[in-house]
Amino acid sequence: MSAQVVTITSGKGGVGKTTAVANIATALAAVGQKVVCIDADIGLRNLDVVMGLENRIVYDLVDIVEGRCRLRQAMIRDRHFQDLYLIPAAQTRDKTAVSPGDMVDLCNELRPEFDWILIDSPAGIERGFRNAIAPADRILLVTNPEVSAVRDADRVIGILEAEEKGSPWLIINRLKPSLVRQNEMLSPEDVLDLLAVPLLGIVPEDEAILIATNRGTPVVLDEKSRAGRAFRNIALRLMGKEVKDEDWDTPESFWSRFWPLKGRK
Amino acid sequence: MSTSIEMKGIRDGLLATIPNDLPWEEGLRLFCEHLDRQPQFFKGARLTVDLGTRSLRVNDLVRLREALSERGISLWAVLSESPATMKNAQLLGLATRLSKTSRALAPGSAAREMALWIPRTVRSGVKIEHSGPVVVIGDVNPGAEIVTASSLVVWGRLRGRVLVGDPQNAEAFICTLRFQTTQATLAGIPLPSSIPTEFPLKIFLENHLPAWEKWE
Repeated sequence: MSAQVVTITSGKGGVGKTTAVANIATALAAVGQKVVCIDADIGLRNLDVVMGLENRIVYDLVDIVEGRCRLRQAMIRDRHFQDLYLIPAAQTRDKTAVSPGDMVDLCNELRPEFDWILIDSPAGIERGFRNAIAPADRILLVTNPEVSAVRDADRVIGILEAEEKGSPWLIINRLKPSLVRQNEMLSPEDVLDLLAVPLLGIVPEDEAILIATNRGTPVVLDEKSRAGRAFRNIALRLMGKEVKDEDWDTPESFWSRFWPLKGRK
Repeated sequence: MSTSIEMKGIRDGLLATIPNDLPWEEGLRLFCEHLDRQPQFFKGARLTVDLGTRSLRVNDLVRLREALSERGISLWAVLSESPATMKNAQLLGLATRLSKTSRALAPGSAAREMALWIPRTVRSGVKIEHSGPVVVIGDVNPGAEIVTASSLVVWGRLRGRVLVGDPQNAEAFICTLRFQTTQATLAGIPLPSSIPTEFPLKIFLENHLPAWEKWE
């Protein structure tokens, strides 16, 4: 086994990177994949909250890098899936506590044991972002269909190209088809026209996300949620499976169908 | 052989020169040591680094920028005689010439300068400055900026900010598949929003006024 390292980044803050990491990781684990998430947002960690694991943190990423604990000691097992782990970020340090080289070494140590290593990148394009992309085999870029988020995403693509990291795959998050119809929101076509990178998936706006986040339960576990369905499709596409694009204009009740979650404890 | 870092104040901040005859790794190490001798003095500085004729990769420039960033110093520009270094610096959004200094663009020489060939989309946050013609095979996205004393050809959509032709260069022109920017000047003259956006265009000056024709 040699894990693929996937970094989820955005440029702009608040577009849903952490939510995407938690949900993609959970969806991958749900189909039997071995997954570890690394929260690289040192000083502003959130992934533990979204995954509902904040009360289990003893050691963190900086403890591993500075040798205060072994790698295994800092890995927290998920509440729902036995092959899903989190390595939390430190909350009381800053991004300079870890270097890009440390992240590469850490991922190389994890690779033999997992199928996927998902890294939650901090917003911005400074040190924390560079730490997060250093070990990446594949980069997923999350944006909202808003001019400012797309502008920042474009900046990030430019940096990734300059650093020879290849074109990222795009996730358009929080799409509101009704606003697109009213010309009040960029359409997916507008976003793709500007960014010109491959589209991995579109996640519609869904209040189930907010509820799930506050509960610490990723929305992919909610079989009725449209956003959950979108994240499950994204995870499958990441695994190389062909999944048809959804028509997000279809009434919500249409999506209330059962989706079998495998590997749950 | 000079092995010391030269540092002097310029209008753009500080200009550091890393001796050209040192291998890059050695030069970077010496440079960092020099900065570490007076960390408080350099903290918060805006720095231009003269890299001489070295051909540096993007990763080398990223390491330089990170080394400065760790010391609280902002790398603003790099100067180099190497086209590869210049191109890679531009890809990282760094300036590659000093602004408002004696290195003003020479009007007569612009047309004779080598063209800068950019075979990709120029994305947000990237600023390209060149005294000769610039050719982009791709789009110029919003948030990107191109400044040239000569002409600009964009084989794609022009949606960023472009300042084309110095004020004495009446021969300068812009060619693009789609002119979709509202932030463009030609020889210092702002281009009007009435310029068509739906088909390929050549924009030029006629009697000191902007004019355009289909680019075929």
